[in-house]
Amino acid sequence: MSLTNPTQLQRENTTFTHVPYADAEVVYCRFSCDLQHHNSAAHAAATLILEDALLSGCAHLTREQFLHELNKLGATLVINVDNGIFEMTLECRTSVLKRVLRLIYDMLESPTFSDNELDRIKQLVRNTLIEYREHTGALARDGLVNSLYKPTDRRYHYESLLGATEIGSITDDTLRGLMQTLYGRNWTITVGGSAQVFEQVVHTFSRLHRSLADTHSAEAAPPTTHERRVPTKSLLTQSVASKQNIDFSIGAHIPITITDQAYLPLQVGLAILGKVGGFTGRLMSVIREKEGLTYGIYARSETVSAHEYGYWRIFTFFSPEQCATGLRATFRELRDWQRNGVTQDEVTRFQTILTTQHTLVFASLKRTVNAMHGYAVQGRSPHDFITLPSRLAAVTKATINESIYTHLQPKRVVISAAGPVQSRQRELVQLASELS
Amino acid sequence: MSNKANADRPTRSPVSGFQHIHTVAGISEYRLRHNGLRILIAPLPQDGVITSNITYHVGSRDEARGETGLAHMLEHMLFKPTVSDRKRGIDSGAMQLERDSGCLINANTWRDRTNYYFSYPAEYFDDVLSIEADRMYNLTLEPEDFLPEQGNVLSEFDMYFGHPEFALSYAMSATAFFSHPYGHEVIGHREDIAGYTVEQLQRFYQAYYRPDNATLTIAGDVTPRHALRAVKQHFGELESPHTPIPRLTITEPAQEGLRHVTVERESGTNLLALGVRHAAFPTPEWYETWLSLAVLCSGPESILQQRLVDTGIASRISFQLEPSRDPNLATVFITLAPGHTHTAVTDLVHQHIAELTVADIRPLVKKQVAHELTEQAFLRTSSLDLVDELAEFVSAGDWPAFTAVAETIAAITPTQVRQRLRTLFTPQHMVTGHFIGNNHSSV
Repeated sequence: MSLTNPTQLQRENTTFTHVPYADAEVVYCRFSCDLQHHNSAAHAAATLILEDALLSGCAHLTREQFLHELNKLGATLVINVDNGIFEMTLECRTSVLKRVLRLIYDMLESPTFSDNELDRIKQLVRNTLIEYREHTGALARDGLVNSLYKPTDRRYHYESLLGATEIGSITDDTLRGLMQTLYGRNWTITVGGSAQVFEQVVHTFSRLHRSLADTHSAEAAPPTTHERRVPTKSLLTQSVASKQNIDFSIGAHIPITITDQAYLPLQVGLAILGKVGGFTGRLMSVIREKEGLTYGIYARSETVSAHEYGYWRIFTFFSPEQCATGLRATFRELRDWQRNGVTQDEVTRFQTILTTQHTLVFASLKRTVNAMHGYAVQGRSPHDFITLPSRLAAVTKATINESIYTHLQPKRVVISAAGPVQSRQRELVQLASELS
Repeated sequence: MSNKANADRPTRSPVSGFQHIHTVAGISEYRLRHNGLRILIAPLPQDGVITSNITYHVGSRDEARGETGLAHMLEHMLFKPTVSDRKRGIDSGAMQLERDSGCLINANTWRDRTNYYFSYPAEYFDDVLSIEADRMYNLTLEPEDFLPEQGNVLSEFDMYFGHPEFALSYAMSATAFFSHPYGHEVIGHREDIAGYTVEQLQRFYQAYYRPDNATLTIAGDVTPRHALRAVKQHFGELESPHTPIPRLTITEPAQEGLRHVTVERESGTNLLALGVRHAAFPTPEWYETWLSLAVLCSGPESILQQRLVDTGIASRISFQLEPSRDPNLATVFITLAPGHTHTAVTDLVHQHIAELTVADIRPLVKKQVAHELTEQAFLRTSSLDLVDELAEFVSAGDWPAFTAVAETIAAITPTQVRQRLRTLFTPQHMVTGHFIGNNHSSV
């Protein structure tokens, strides 16, 4: 099984990208659509319910029948909505693709959204949100993000705030409203598999679009709702007594889009600070390896897109006893990086590191498709991804440091903490005042 | 169970100094005669990428009381400098290759083995083998390297221990095993981790890190000739001690009747765990257990998903079944919805299992087999995924069984699954666990 040249084609509202594997036995396919309207608790509840509701019956099939048809083919179909983006991921063997595509066609064209199934899903969502309230990593992140964005922004996280009222208010009409949005907006589809597989996918989704075009008009493009706000507090805490560690998300806005000249240098700069995965970033090298303060500490940008600004954050955890030492060490490294920038040695090493990791992506069908899809969603081509190493080679120490200095020198960085914070509250307040 | 029947007969090794053991489904096994190192080579069309993994046949099963988690601690230390690293002024050990080149590097420890793997462009093949050969014998294990890493392992322990499933598993393992080292978690007890000495680590390292206790797996853009030449160059001079590899031979006493443990915390979560004893991996009985638990818990059509989650009694169902060399404990985890008790749900599960018919099970078995076929096909699209999966079979001492998984599962009948479920969920095979959250919340 080997990769040959990927291609992209545009059909009406859909961008199709083909990642060809000539003799692949399997198909891996990603579908994305931006569903975002102005965010709200009701919208968040609706998208949570939609994830399961779409898999719960369509056309002439009940939920049981639909799942039976899908599972007897050994296919996996996962749906989720995150930051307002509808995502569908399909994994199956090539030999069964045609039958799976038929199911997906019916699922998207004629979802049932029966009352019985909605009742089941609402109960399930209520139950799973109870566990969410102890997921301290997610809570720390949500606290940070919710301090940076207004409640109408796509990034605002409602999971820990949703109650029975919001969930109970969702009807099949609400879900059909979301589907109207899906039908009218642009689709991005990336397919890993043979040429024949790609043709089958293009044919299916083009036919679906034509069928829907008869009854639905194109929707306006999603609102650019990066409704940012200036944080009013430098420290946010959420108490979860059952955990052993305190999770932290520390960050601020990034006031650029991916089309900005500074974007790639900033990504390299953030990788030098805290590359996610592995041990290469400064934060892991120093705070974990040399100082032994945490099992993991990383930094990255999130939700920066072609049209919207995003934010960056450091994410980690410390024991309550070590959180003061850990936070001081983190801010020491962060300030050094912000004030003094990166060194030439680091730039050279990270150009190699990121180029190698680009190569390694191609050793996996799924990782290749995921990478190409991420680019396609941002309006970029497979060629853009393939030529990334040459753009990395052109990044310089000066452009990296300029981007850090210009775009990541916030007057206030927000510290969001979740976990057994109560015994450390006073200490954290004092630290936040000292460090921010 | 093994696919040895389909193995090619041994032939001459393409490089001298090696014994070709056999080739099964394109994967070839060799033994380096001089020191007993085992090598598996799986060529894959990977466009210039190789994944290699060295499995040391040592894990938490080799740990005595008072030094639990030592294998895992030592795994962390294998990334610290060796004698030659220090001479060259390298203070980050094996990680230096990642820092210089971006090669993917990591490791993990489990019950019976410790794995160290790299994934990298083929040009780094010699560098990787050089690192593996060097750190097999030449770690310096200095206190200044050990102390911060001990802190990291304590941090890792705390990360896991905060999760209800881990906290409950931790207690259930200790309850299930009176004698066998499977009775402690791989990471060990926090108290033991905090009390480690460098001398303990040194002793463990010298006992288990040796060529005749290791299997090197190489997959990707590589030929057997090229791979064996490089292995000979880097490992050929290493000696295996004449002393035997220390092994704890422990027979777990038979269980008489149901065992139970409770963990209480200030938490909004209530969790029920049903532990069932199962056979060693990769026997047919292990696969029957896997298929049985999958039919019970895996996916939206599974028995307990339909009867507990879809009815609002539980919010989540999952199971954990490890590929261990010895009989072990598998666990079904059921997160209870508010208003439902551990005891009542346990009774429900038993009732559902007792009422299951072959007709109920048959379609679910077919679907699990279909999913497994898809998963096996996806494994071949990534050398990293393939090596990760193959390593478990290497650890169990029967790697050819990896090539026969689909056939093994397809041979299991619905009647066998029903019988297996009834056998597993009997009191003398069970340990139950209740995680009781004293801070009840609802939505």
